[in-house]
Amino acid sequence: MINLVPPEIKQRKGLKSLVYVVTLAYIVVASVLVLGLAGLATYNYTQKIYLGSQQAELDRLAAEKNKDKTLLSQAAFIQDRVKNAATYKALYDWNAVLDAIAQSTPTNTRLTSIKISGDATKPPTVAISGESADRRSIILFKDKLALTKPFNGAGITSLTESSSETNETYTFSISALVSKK
Amino acid sequence: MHHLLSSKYFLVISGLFVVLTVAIIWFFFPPVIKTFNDNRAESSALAEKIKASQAEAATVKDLVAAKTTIAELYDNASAALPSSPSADLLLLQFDGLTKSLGLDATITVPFSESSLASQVAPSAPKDENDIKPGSGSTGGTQPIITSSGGGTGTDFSLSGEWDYPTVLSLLTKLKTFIRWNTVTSIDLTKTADKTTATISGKVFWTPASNLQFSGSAKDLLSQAKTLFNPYVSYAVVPDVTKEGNFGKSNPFQ
Repeated sequence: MINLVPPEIKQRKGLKSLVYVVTLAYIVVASVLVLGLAGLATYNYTQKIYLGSQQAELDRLAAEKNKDKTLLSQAAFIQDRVKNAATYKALYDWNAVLDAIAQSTPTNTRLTSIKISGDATKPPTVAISGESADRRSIILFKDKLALTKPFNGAGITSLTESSSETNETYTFSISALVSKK
Repeated sequence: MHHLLSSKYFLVISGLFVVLTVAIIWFFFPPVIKTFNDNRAESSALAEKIKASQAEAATVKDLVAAKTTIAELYDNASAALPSSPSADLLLLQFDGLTKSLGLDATITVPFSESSLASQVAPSAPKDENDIKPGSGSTGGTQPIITSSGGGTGTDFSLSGEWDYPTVLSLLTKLKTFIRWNTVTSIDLTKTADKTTATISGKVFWTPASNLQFSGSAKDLLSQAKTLFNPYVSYAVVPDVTKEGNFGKSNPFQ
């Protein structure tokens, strides 16, 4: 079969169909873009509504929290005190210090004064004064204190003899450092 | 291609396509994408906040369930380490402490500079039976004026005619005394007829501001109970709305 249609008409027809195909491709691409844009805009709109509901939930939770504000501040106060309790713990066990002095005192020795003083910068010092029947007991007392916890060394600061008609007595002062418990 | 460019229809439609595509991509997409990203960021931030708030709400629920215990622990915590010097209550606490041992004591606690320091004047024994073993000082009778120093420590002193075992008992009680304290000096002096003792120390206070609770209610309750249970309170906070009788026609009578 011989196609008798002139080549110009055949060429024009081919061109026309090519233009239609390209136009269709344009329409498809443009439609995808427009639909994508519309889809995104719709998603944004629904997301905005969802965010609104999330914010409302957050506000509700905050309101619930504020309702018990006093309770929360009380809990915070307790928590603060629990956390800081260690800061205010006593560094020295004074009962142990006095007990150690009593346990170290020789039987023939009588104390007349115990003075314990100290500050934050240095360990407390215990100044003990008393009377004893002999010098040896006073030295033993000092040595016993030096070996006893919670003392950290002890020394005699004064030792004087006073005689009466009946007997001799020795008055003394001992100083000792207290170590932390 | 050469033939396509010669088509007017193709040129017009291509021109329209280019204009439309550029308009969509250049003008319409950026704000929509920006909104999309903003929403996503906001959504994840809100989700985090909600998660934290839900956890807080659960903690608050636990705290509400233990409301009475929290109130008691708060009273204990306030008494142990108040947010102000709270000298009034300290005085009542020391008064209660010394009375619990049956002691007559001179208690010195500093009030503000504008007011007189407090002193509990010890009551004289009514008869011989009123004098308890190991105690018996009449204490000082002069008013003691002190001023509350700066910082968060407040000095105090307890003194009286107490013997050695009484001082030991008092020191033991101070260990479990509700107001956290530290003894800084002890003075025990024996004379021919009496033993006098002075115990000096510091009690503490610290301002409480912007405290935020974090953590679990269960842990807090357990830790606080363990901490505060051994402490003993010897006085309750005075409440002028609930106690006391007031009003006299002649206050000088």
